[in-house]
Amino acid sequence: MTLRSRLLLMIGLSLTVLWSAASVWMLIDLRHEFRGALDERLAASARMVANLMEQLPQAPQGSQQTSSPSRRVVDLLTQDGVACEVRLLRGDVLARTHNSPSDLGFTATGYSTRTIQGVRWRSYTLDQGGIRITTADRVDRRTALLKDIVVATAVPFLIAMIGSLLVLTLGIRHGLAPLGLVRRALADRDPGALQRLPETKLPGELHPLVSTINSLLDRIQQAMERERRFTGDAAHELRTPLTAVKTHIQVACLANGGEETASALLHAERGVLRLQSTIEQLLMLTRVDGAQPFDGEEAMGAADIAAMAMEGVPGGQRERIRLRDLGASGKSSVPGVLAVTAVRNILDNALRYSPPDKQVTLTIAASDEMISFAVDDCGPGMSESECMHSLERFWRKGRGHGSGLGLSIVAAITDRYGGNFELRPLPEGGMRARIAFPLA
Amino acid sequence: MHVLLVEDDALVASGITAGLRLHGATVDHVETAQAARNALEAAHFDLVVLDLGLPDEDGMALLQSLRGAGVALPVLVLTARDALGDRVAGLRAGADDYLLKPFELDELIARLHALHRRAAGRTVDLIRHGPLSVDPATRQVTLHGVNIDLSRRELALLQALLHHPGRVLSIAQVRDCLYGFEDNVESNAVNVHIHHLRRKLGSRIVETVRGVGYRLGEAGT
Repeated sequence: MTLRSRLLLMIGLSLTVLWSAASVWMLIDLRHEFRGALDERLAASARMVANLMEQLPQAPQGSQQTSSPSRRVVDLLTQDGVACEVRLLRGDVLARTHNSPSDLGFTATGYSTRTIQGVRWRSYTLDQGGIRITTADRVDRRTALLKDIVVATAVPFLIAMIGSLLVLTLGIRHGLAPLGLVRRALADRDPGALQRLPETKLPGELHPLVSTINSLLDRIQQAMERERRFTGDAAHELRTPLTAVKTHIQVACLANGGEETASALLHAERGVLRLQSTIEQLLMLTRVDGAQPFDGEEAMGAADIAAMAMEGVPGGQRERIRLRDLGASGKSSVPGVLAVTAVRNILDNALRYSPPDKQVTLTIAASDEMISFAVDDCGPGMSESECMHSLERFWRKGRGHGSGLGLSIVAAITDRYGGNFELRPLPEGGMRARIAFPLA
Repeated sequence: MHVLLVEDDALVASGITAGLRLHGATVDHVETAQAARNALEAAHFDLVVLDLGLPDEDGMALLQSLRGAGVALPVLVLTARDALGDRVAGLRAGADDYLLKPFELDELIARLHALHRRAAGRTVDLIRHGPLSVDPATRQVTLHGVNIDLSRRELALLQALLHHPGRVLSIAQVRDCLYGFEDNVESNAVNVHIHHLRRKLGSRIVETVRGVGYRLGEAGT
């Protein structure tokens, strides 16, 4: 059920019930008051006739009824619709309105309701000075009068109720219009669309909702953009060496032996090595990024990590590394294989970007909680923005020949195990890359 | 066919260069967009093979600026990214053809020949000139139906002349068609190739326009 129909139903129903209860209450009250007022009128009329009868000269006994003064008094009442009978307590009728039934006076004093000759009457009887005065109303007349009054009051009441229901409908529709706007904006979109929802002309209640949705959409968009770029970059990084391998193999076939074939095959092999290293780096990154545990990998001490990392560096390059041990003891909490990978990656970078005749320095040190590996190189260094970019996947400085994943892997490893990774330029030129791992 | 290869990856570039040279093309390789601009200003090329991922500038931007500057050379774009959007954008930016890495060397050659042929206004691959016919794709040359063996440079020279019938090619233009930038050209090297062509295809195949250059003449006489 829509919010609008729920609101309409709830408010509409309660309004109708309240209005109806109020009108029923009013009706009962009105009827009671109305009857009271009419009864009061009967009593007042009877008292008035009694007073008038007292002021009349005593009519001679048995005189002609038609011309008697008492008759004239009761005629006054007929115009008011009230039936009246004046009779002596002995039983003789002195006067009677022409609308009154014949046996009106045969009753006790006070109010009574009777059926006389098939008609219901409400009467009031008063005994005063030997005369009995009875005044009466026809009950059906009274009912008709009451009905008229009820109808006259109920029509505006009903109109007001229908009006308020209409106003309610319009108000709810208008009040919920912003919701409809958001609903339409959502319904009209392509399900895959990620553009923001409009935030203007929204009521305060919807603002947090829409801005939350919008920031979520923004984040999804960014994540998808990153994903798309990563896929594109990965395709590029894998296809480029593959192209080199394939082309060189085709050249080798075309060249039909000789020096050209040999050189082409050599090139193809270089391409295969590059492809292999890129794939290994990608797999490593996926493993570090993913949730898979590195169980069973034992923790290693700083000196062992450094030694293993240096061992991973290709033969001719190893001699360029100078190791300074500032007395690091204790084991890192990072699984050995990852710690070695991280240190070897920053060593690789330093060697790659330093002039071939220069040394790079690997310094290992320990504090209370961390062991650290710092590699200083003599390369061209990096600006602050390059340092930031260097952690992006597949980013390389200039025409570097690495996979562009080395530092991303280092950052992923230190992130995962609560370590630190910082890159900063050295005052004398070159860069320092420093990794710190928490102690086990 | 003189091809400018714009490719930042040295390993890929050396493969393509070697492959195209084996198919008789003259190839110059540059690694950056700026170097590509300089090369296009310095020499005459028939075709450009452009990799989109260049270190100094996006290949697409280079292509657009070249087209904006009125360079009408056929351009074949190479890319390792296969997103359809990239492909459409490449063709919109003025690429004549598009090849996804990794590709077959034969396909690259065939497409380059097709582009070259289209640029020359021909609809079939076979070039006929009197009794002489040349198939650039198979590098088969026949005179009066008899196969003639031509060296790579001789064929390149013949193709350059056939490509511009009736026009005089300057000595520099002819040299551009035969040699890349790195080739060491001896001063009389072009003359040697012309001499060989005349010996194989008749003395009037290359006409010398004194002080200006060379022009295509009649074959087989």
